[in-house]
Amino acid sequence: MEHGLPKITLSDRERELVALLAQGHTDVSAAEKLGISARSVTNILRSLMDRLGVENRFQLGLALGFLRKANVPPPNPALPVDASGDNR
Amino acid sequence: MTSSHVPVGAAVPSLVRWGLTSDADLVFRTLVTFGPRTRRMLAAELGLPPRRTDQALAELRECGAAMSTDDGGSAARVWTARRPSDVVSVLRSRRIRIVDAQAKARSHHGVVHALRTATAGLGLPALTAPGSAGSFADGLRYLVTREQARQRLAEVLRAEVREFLTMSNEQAFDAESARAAAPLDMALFTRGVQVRVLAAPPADGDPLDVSGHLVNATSFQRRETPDVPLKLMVVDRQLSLLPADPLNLERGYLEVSQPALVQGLLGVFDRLWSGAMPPERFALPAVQLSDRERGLIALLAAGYTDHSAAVRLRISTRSVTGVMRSLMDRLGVENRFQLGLALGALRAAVPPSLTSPAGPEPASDQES
Repeated sequence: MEHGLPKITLSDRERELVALLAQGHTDVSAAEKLGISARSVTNILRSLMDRLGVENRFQLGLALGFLRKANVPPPNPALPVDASGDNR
Repeated sequence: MTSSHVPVGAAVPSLVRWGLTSDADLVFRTLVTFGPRTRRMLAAELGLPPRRTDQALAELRECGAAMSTDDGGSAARVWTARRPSDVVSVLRSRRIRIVDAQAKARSHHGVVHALRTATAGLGLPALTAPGSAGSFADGLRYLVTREQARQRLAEVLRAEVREFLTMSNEQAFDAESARAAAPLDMALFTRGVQVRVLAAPPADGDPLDVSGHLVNATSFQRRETPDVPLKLMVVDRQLSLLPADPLNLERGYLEVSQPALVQGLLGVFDRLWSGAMPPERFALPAVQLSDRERGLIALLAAGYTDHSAAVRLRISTRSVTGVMRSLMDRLGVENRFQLGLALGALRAAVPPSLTSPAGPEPASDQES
């Protein structure tokens, strides 16, 4: 079922942005976090939407979810912290 | 009943929606509303059998919703709830987490890199496959194709083995791997080999999990964690297999028997295993869409606006907003982008540009 799917590769910047938005950040808060302007955020998403052939955020989400692209802040396997050690 | 985190009767979000049991939810509410307690107090106040109370607390600890003081025996431990909003955001971010190939490759290389720096002078290749097949360093061997790796694994497992550990960051399995794995799993199970499977939660409650029916508490255990950093198999704590190139499994596997390296890899497995949990805690719950929801999503996926979709469905724009709002609540997301991600991962809908023959863009120049 996967074979007809287009392949796209996200740049690091795109991946970071998508990850933040997936966690519920707004454009503005994501921009702050990435140290770029809100306008750049719009541009990055615009270009991603163009590449995926979609017109709005809902469709963008659908496409990325469908392609299983997106949104992990990459785990840091070098120090796989004891995952239960959340004892604050 | 002195320390109170939130006013009694204030709304506490239901954790059931995030896949926790109702016992865990009840205990969480109690801790949030009435403050820290021991398990005995909880059991007495809630009229829950101690065993269920313990299970609920374990569940809450696993997902970071509650923590305990560490002093003394388990009876003396005092349990405290984390802030509900924090808990929900953790559960949420876990649930709509989807790993793509590049991120997987990065985390794979992260582990390999850490091993190389931790154990000086090791011959572990930094990146992808070395040029030639066969042995190229002590205790390292390159199996050049995936098929060769499968055969080698089968050969190893046919011998007298006691333990087989495997972890995988695949969120979906192709049919061929499933076919290859099924008889192997079955054989190991019947021979009573201790098998532990550590997996990334499937993005969409993947049906192709062949080992699911074998899981029991004794010889065959399965746990899930979203943080599996690489694909790895370890036999009897002596021999391990990992992909030569995480981006392309067809490029074969590295067979590692160098003790220090195997130890390092085991360390990664053991740490993750101890923090992981039995499946279905994280999986996206099945979403049942009503006809109306399905119809609306199909239109929006096709690029209709709220307004044009409303016209088409002969409902008001307000109703469109309402339907979407309730769907977002059910899936636990806050905006349309996240809703799209979740529905896309669940294969509930797809924008037509991805399925049309033309496709959005040729893959060639994008693909690394």
